[in-house]
This record gives sequence, structure tokens and C-alpha cells, in this order.
Amino acid sequence: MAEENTITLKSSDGKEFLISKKAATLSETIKAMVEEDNSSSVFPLTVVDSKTLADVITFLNKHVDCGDDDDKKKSCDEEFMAGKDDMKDLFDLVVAANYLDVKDLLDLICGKIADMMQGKSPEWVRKTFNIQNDFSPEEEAKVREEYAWAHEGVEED
Amino acid sequence: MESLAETIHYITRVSNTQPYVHMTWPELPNEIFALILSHLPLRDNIRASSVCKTLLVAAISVRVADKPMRIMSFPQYNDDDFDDFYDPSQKKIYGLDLPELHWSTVCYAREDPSEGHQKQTNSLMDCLLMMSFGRIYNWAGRVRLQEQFLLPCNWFYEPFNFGDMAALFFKLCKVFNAWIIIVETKVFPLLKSSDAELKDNIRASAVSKSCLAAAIYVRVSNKPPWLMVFPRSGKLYKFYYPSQRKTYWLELPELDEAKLRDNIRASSVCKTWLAAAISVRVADKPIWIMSFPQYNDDDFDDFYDPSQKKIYGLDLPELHGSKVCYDRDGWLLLSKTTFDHVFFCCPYTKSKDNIRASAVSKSWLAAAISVRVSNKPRGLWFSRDPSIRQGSGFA
Repeated sequence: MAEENTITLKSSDGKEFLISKKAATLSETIKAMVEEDNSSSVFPLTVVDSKTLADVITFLNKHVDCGDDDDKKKSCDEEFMAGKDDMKDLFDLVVAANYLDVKDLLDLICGKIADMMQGKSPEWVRKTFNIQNDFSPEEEAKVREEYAWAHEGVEED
Repeated sequence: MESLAETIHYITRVSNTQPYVHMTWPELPNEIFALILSHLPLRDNIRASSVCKTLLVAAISVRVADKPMRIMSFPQYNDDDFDDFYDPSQKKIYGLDLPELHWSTVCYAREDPSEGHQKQTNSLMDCLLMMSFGRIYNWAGRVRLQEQFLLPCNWFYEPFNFGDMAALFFKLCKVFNAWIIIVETKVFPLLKSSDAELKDNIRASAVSKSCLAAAIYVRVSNKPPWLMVFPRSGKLYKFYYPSQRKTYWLELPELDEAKLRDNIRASSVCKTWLAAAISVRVADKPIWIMSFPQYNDDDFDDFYDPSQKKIYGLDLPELHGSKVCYDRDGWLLLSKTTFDHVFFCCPYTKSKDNIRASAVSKSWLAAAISVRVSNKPRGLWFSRDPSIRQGSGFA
């Protein structure tokens, strides 16, 4: 019986994780997978590596434990996010949360990224996110000039 | 922080059977950027918008949805076809060509309560309604009537001065998330004259049903409103028009008469109870009808409390020489006739705009008011909070 309530998720680097069905189906993507294929119990997730998947599974399990208690969820989320300052890890989590369609996690990570962006210059954002500046100098000057007040008081990188 | 090179060449680790997938930040879907930016305060949102075009679009899409308040100023000269909208949150002016607004007088604006914080739709004018002579019909788009719909008729902040044979058209118009009521003057041939004596007007109203409607609209609009209602729940109460010497009961409030009677009875027990009963009574039934002194030597503004069937005379020097432009939750938005002074006032507490009632700050306040905005003499101001004006850089 126990097996019916758990499924195995396989990360891109081949590691397997056992997770309760209830927790796994917080992810819309896994939910759809499970509904589509009732017979199998191993689901390969080709775009999520084991480190990230472990994090996601931690998050899902915590959220199942918290139930509907929003306060508890909040403190769980804080605990979960503590120490996650690495851009690469955050990026992995965003990609995974987006792929797995876990809205709460996606929102949490995006909020964290936004926190890190606060008070930073556009140059910092470009560098950190490796974004190509596709404005022409004139365009950029115009965009900046429009809201000059917002560009005052930027933290030094 | 993770180094640039690592991010660029970051490759998601995939199983052997899968091809290598290169993923970098810029390849993320725009929705994710929008989600990230939606967590940012405005200043950071704007700053992020100068990073690249994708972020610009994402930042603006989130920004607009969250900050729909606009201050509107009307073109001073007719050759200027653009209505300017000032967004205090972004400190920016948008010029929009809104032909619907030409030759119209905006007398009222309010948020669209049904929209709430929903995402901004791209259709700016998708809900345009027109009301004429009590008949309301769909001007464009779907009909969406609010129960507060009839209110604006009494909120003319400018006394109208119509020529002969004029009648009023009311238009409900949606700009961003706010509804504005536009009053248009239209020639109405059956009506003799709006400037005619009241007697003539009343006599003319007996000609036919449409004449009656036209006459009443002109009659009401030509006279500044003398009595006002403070609708807390959005329901209409009592309107008294001294010019017509007539009272309208538009919608009866649901008063708990028995409860009120008990309260009043309890207030006669002792002084402490009196104070307690009154405090509760006022707090629960704040709907007052206000009448302005007709003559200058009368310093008292009368407030009629329908729930208690009682008139209060209050000396409110704050109101002298002021025009009431808007009211909401017991607060009045006032402007001095010189147009250089706009302030909020709460007659109950006599507090002025620097002291804000929590009720006001919580509710969306859509205010229509004459403001001197640069060299534009008339403006309309949408704001969710009176404090925004103070922070908006408008003098």
C-alpha cells in the first residue's frame, strides 16, 4: 500500500528520490504526469538536477506538513530560503519551479531574487543575470532620463 | 556572487541520453521576469527597466497593473487633443488622445470596484456607458452599472452654466481602473430655457415626460447641490434640493430602528452611558446629510443624520469659502475657490488632511477636483490615498 502513495522522481543526473504522492502533486507538472501514467512509479525529470530536486522536494514536503497554516508556511519558507544566496542555485530553483509548475516556490524564489535586486544598478543586474544590453545609447539615455529620480542613490556594486 | 562566466556557460546537468541544454537567465520566460519584478518596489522596478528591452516590457507590465492611479489634466486649449494623465507613482505624464472626452465635463471619478487589483486590461475605454434622462444604455462594450452610478449627478464641482435649450447627458467612462462620469451638454429643443426662472422650468417640466426629465436635470445641475449624502456603503440616502424645495429618497437605508431606539434610551441612563451610547451611535451610522449655509452670516453647517432624525449644527470654519468636491467615508475633499488650496477634511473629527482616517487610507479614493496643475487650470485627480498628493510633487 505504501508504494501506492509514493512515487520516485529521477533527476537529470540519474539520482532517485522517493516522495509522497501528496507532496509531489503540489507540482502541477508532476500531477499531470501522474494522472497521465498511472502504472509507472518512476518519473524522470530531465531538466532538474539532483541538488535542485532535493531542494524542491524539501520544499514540497514542508508545505505538505504545514497544511493550510499560512503562518507556519511562512516560517517554513523563511527557513527554506535561509542561506540561499547563490545566484546559480537560485537560477536552478527558478527553472525547476517553473518547469515543475510549483507556484508557491516560484513566487518565493522570485521574491528572493527581487530582494537581492533592490537598490542595485542596472549594470549590476546585467552583470549578475548576464543580460545583454540591447538598448542603443540613445534609447537607454531616454529610458533613464524619463525616470531620473529612480536612478539616484544606487548602491555601489 | 556567482561569476559571470559560470552563468553564461551554465549547463543544466542532464542525463546521458539527453542532449545538453544551455540555459541562462535571459532565456527564462518573460513571465518569470515579470514575477521577479512584481516583488520590487517602484524605484527598483524602474531601475530594472533600463537593463534591457525584455526587462523594460516586463517591468512596465507589472508596474501599470499595480499602480493605476492617474492624475488627469484636461487640455487647456482646444487644439491640444491630448489629455494628460499624471501617474504620481511613476512621476510621469502620459499623453492620451481620448476623443470621447472632448467637450465634456468630468464631474466625478471613482474606481471600478469590480476590477479591484486585477491586471490592467489593454482596452482603455472598453466600458463606456451613457446615461441620458434616466435611461442608461450601453455606449460601447458591456453594460456594467454600479449602484453608485447615480451618485455623480449630485457631485458637480463646477456650477454649470448652460445656454438656452440645453440638457445634460451623462456618460460613464472608464479610464484605467477608474470610472469617470462625463457630463455633456446637448441641445434639447423641447426645453424652453435652462436659465429660465425656476417657475418656468417647473412649468416646462409638465409638458411631457422627456421635458420633465430634461427640466429636472437642468434644474438640479444649475443649482449647486445643497444637501449631500455621505454614502458609506455606497447606498443612496436622502437628497434635498432647496432650489426645488424637494426631498428625494433615493434608497432607504436599512436601519436597525429597534437597536437605535435602545441605544438612545440607554443614553439617558447616566452621563457615562450617554457618552458611550453616542460614541457607538455615531460610529455605526456615519451617514449624514450636509447642508451648506445659504447665507454668509450663518456660520453653521447643518448636518442631518437620518439614522437619528436629527440635525446638527456644526461650526466648521474649515469649510468656509470652500467647495466640496468629493466625499468618501466621511471625508470631504475641499477646494478653496481660489483653486490654490485643496485639502481633505473630516467634519466628524474636524481633522484636516494631515491627519488621515484609516478608513480613507484603506479605501480607494477617486477624487474629482479642480487642481491647478502647471498652467492647466482644470484637472482631475485619481488617487487611492490623500497622502499621494502630498508626495506627488504637485504644488
